[in-house]
Amino acid sequence: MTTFIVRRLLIGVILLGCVAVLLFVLQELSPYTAADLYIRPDFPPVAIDQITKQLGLDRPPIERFGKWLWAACQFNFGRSLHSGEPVSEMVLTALPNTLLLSVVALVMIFVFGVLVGVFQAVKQYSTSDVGLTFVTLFFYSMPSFWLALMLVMIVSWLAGGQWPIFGMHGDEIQIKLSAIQEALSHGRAPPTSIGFFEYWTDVGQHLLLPAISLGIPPIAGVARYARSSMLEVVTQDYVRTARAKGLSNRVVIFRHALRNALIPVITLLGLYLPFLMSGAVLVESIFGWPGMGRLIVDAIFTMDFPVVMATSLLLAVLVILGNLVADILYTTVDPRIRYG
Amino acid sequence: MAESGKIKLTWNTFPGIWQLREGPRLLGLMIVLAWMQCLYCLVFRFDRIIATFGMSPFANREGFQHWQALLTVVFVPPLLAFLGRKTPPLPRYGKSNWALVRERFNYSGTAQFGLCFIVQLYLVFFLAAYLAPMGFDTQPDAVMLRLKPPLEAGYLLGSDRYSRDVLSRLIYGSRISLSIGILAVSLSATIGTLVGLIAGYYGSWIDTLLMRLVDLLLSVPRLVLLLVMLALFKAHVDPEWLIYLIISVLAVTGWMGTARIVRGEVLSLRERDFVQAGRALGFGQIRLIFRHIAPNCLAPVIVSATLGVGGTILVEAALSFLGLGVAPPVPTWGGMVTDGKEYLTKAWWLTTIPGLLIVFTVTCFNLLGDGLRDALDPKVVLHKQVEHGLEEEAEAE
Repeated sequence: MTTFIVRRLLIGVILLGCVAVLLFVLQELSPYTAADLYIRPDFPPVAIDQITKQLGLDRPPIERFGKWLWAACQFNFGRSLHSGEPVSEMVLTALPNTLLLSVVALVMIFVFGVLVGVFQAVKQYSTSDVGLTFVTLFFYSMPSFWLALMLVMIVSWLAGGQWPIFGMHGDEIQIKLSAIQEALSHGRAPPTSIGFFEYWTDVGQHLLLPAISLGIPPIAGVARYARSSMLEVVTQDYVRTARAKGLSNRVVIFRHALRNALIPVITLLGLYLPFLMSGAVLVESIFGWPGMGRLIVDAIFTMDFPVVMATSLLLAVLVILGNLVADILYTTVDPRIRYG
Repeated sequence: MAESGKIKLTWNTFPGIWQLREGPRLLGLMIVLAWMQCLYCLVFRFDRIIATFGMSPFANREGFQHWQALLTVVFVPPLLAFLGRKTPPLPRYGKSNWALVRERFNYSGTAQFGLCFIVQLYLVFFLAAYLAPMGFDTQPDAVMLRLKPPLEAGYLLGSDRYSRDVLSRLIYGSRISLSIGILAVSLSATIGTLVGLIAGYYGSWIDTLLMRLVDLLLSVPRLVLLLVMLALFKAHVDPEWLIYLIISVLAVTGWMGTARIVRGEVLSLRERDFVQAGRALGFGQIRLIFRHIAPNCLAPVIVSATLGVGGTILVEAALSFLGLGVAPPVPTWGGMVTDGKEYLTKAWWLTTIPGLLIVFTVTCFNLLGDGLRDALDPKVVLHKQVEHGLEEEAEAE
């Protein structure tokens, strides 16, 4: 098991190196360079030379790539071309928010997906089976950004502006948070405190809509897998034995059959991560959720190269780690599978 | 049936009608609806048909679209009549593979539903110049007629903030969304099939190299890769050519799944007896790959391509939503959702209707893909077949 994890991690690191090369090559191929952000056509050639030199763009690409990669290994991605903040700090504040959003969405996808799939398998070929297939497929075919907009419309109509839609914190919490941050940066004692319960209710309220618009559409895929693997499992001998023992239907389905039916579903976990990250890009920018997706969209529109490179690389890290976790889970759920 | 030389005119001689009476009903509905679209153009848009003859098909976009619509009106109804003609039933045994697939397809109602409305959507695509009540950028009265709700002031689906007709924009928008979907997927399916064939057939280091490339591209979220590529190159591409950039970028980022599936198929096919026999007969590699192996892994490619069209339409909508799609004023469905975003509570129809159309189109492609998956796989015993008591027959086949 350990050797398997180590080998997978090594492959992951090599893959990341390749992703870095790919991103760098794309950036090199683009006719647009970082210097274009600062240069106006009426600048004298001396000034243009100076800007190019300051950004290090006069060096050969290999050298620049080496330098960037070396710095990236030390988690230093340079400074944003716009705000001048260190990119690593921007990324580190955004990363936990994205993780929170995607984990909540992932839990929603799997819990609802498996429940729907099991229900469909138990009532195979019934009206509710066919109906649920249609309903989940309808949501599956839905663009996440449109679902997000519809949710905003419905919620603002139902709640009349009472339910928070934009951002991650309500106004009160935001004011307190910035006061605490400022005090801490000056080394003073924080003036106010935020209760644990108060904080998380607020975040949870803001989290609900983005999580729904990210977590509802992909349910159909999980449900289909869960349905077919459940149908395969319920015909097996041990399930018949369990029924013969006189166990109730619920115990047979959820305690005996579900465990084995879940194995193929868990492999989907790794597949859904890139999907979630893509969705997060759109949903975060609609709901103003301060995560990686919003960061990357803003950076792409302002041609902020260091931020684009850092965020894409980190998203790739998340995807690769997610796949590894899925593989490890696979072995723990099913002891019949062993990796050498 | 009819004696030679005598044609008995009954309902059954009309293509479409007999299917509506005897089934497969949804295919009959498909033909009838398509005929109605063409008939609508002939009756209510006769002035435009006449005007088409005064236009040159290659001078500008408008002329091209009008000629396209004219050719569609002339050639599609007979084509559908030919495809939907009543043929004598095939013998019980000795059916070709595709006849079997068609038979299985006829059992699946959902797949026929998908096909029926996909055909309608593509007809709207071709007939856009005739069907649309106005041009996509016609602004009748930007002050008095802006943001009219559906069914008011002659707007069937309402008007937007410049008083443009939402229905016409949806019809013209189908041209972008549907053509990008089909073109990008046919490109990416071709790339994926080629890569999969090469990787699976040659094996060894070529296989390793190509599959690691697939892993590499899959580890960056597709939308991020697309955004980076588009943002870096968009500013330096002529707006006229932007659609081709989008198509190629979508194709380059979308072939990996197909490549994996095809490789898996080829790995098992290449050891099969018929391939070994071909090799023993001294067939060339090209002939073995394309004549003997490729046709046998076509089924999963067709399924993944059909499902992929839906996915590509969604991605294209997302790109337009972020403002990286085809430039305005050419409408796209995703772009229309973006335009309506500011009027979310004031004018619900601006976001809801284009979004619903996207959902409907993608649902149709997904239903068709699912149905094809069942129809193309002879191992799957269809629910309908069980119902019709044909289970034994299916197993015997």
